[in-house]
Amino acid sequence: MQAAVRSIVRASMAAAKEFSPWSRSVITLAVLAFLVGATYVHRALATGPLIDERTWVDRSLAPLWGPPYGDNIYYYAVHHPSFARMVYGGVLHAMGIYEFEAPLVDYSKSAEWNFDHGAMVPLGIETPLRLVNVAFLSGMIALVYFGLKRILANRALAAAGCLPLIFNSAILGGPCPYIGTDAMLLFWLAAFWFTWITLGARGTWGVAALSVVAGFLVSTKLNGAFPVAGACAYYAATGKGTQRIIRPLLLAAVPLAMFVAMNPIYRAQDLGWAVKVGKDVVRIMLELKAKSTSKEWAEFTRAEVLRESFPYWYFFIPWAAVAATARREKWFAPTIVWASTVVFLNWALIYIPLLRYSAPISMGFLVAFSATGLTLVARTFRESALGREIAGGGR
Amino acid sequence: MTFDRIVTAAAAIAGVAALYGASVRILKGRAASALVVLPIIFGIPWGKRFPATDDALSFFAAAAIIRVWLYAREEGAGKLKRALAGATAVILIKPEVLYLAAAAAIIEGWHWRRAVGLRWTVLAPAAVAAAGIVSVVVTRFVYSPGFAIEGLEERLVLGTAWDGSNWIFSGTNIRNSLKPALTYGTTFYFALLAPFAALAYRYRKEWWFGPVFWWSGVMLALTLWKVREPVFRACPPMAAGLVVAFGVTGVRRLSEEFPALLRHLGCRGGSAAQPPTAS
Repeated sequence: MQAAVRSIVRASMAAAKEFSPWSRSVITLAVLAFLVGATYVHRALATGPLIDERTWVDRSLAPLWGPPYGDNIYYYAVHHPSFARMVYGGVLHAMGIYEFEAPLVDYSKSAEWNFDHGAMVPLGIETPLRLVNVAFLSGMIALVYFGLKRILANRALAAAGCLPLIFNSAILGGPCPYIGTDAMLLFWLAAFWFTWITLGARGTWGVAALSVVAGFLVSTKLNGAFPVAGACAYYAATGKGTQRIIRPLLLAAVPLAMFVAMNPIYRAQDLGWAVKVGKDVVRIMLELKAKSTSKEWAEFTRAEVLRESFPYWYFFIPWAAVAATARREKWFAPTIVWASTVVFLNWALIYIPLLRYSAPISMGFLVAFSATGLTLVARTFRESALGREIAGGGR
Repeated sequence: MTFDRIVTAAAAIAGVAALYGASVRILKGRAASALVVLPIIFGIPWGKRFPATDDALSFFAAAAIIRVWLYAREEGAGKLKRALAGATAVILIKPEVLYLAAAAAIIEGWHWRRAVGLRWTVLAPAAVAAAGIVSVVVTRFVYSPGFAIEGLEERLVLGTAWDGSNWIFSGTNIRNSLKPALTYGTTFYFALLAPFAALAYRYRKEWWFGPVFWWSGVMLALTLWKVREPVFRACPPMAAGLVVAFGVTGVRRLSEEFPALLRHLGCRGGSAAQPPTAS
């Protein structure tokens, strides 16, 4: 058995040496692209019509804010930040679609009733919008790959660390086919983590770059603010002198400015108006929660939400042990702060464990677990007899 | 409360107690062992009004086997016969764990082969197998002859694999369709296995490692092989196997990384390659 493992490892390493580092990168990325095609693209194309698609086409074609004013325009402007509407709207406009005539969804009726009455999106519009999701999810995989490659200094291990995300049920079943903000949220979460571990320790300019990514993150979905708050706390706790104040301030001010810039409804009138809009955001969230949880099928306890959206909790002891082995690495603190805020604050926020709500929780955990776990795998291999033998160029 | 529900709860409690006892033997710490079995306690649907006596007995039997297995490894060749008697008793209660008990008997017989000789090395699995066959064919035959013989092999494997989804997802609760548990449950733990294996590798020479990981591995293999959808939460023996095996390993590693913290939890750590009482 040991001899077989030794032969396989040696043969793999010999084969890898036949290719230049550049070629190895291309091959690894091609493998990841193939897997993304087999999973994300397949799921995006194979999933049937979904109930919320009609409203997302409507809100993507509507002006972000401006005449003609109406209840829908106001609701679209405050329900979610504008980034997803801008992206989907850009794609629809590029396709020459400026209007879409089909009944809006009546949410008091069933999905089947709505589909029968034409409240659905034809394939010609649905497919490109779902492929936008795939593009953002592919970007997420690329960012996680490059982040892990930086941490592990090994292409194969970095690619292996992406596999749990590529095959993750919550991502495949939720954000991948669902036209909405969720796929883009995952992309910006990955971008925030990648920027934090690459530029976060490079002085104030690195933090400024991080704050720009944070601006896109909070302008995509409001729960994107969780890791940003974590980063503010991190820099306030670890900074020295005035940096303790300047860096968290940057991380708060730049995203806020970008958020207001990308959401014109907040600057339509004076400050009082902006405060009223902010209050309406909270009111709508609470109303949606009250409406959903008034139905018997949507009543979940906190423990149930934890069990359904974060099944990894069953292994809290071994993953704590895995994390502990990597605690002295430079990237460890940013990664754990990022993951903890994404996992636990999203868990505290959601009230129904829908797959698309669970996806950021899974992603936050899996990225941190891959980083710490594969570091341990690499270290264990290096310390093994086979690892020492290969490192020493022995028999 | 019906008799069925009392037996279900009693078997589940006994199963948790057996796993806790096994963990205490390894970690020598009560609080740390309680942490190890905590996810299993929360995973059992105590409030379900659905008597699942058979499922709960399977869970208990699977947990009892590892307790007996550790006893055999810890106490050594001198107590092998006593361990064999324990395993046989478990099989008589729940014959479906025969494959798991047979694997334990073969591995322990081989482990102690120099001490006990070839005769007992062969006799141990044979005795366990005989007890299983006797239990199924004779005792079950009395009230259900057709069921006892029909699909015997299938029953023996499925008993260990145990698709307990009736217990976990019982009733016509529409919320189940909203729960990601089914999709998560099938494969979500695969992503964890490589780093956990690296975590466990360090302890491969400790006395408890073989029994615990063989026990866990046999249940995982049988579940993946036989159950159509090996949903993590609906297969408590498999779930318990993974949670205990890696939970114990995790505590051992944490006790090395943070010795002071683990001392507060009453974990003395320092497991040796061989148990101190081995003969």
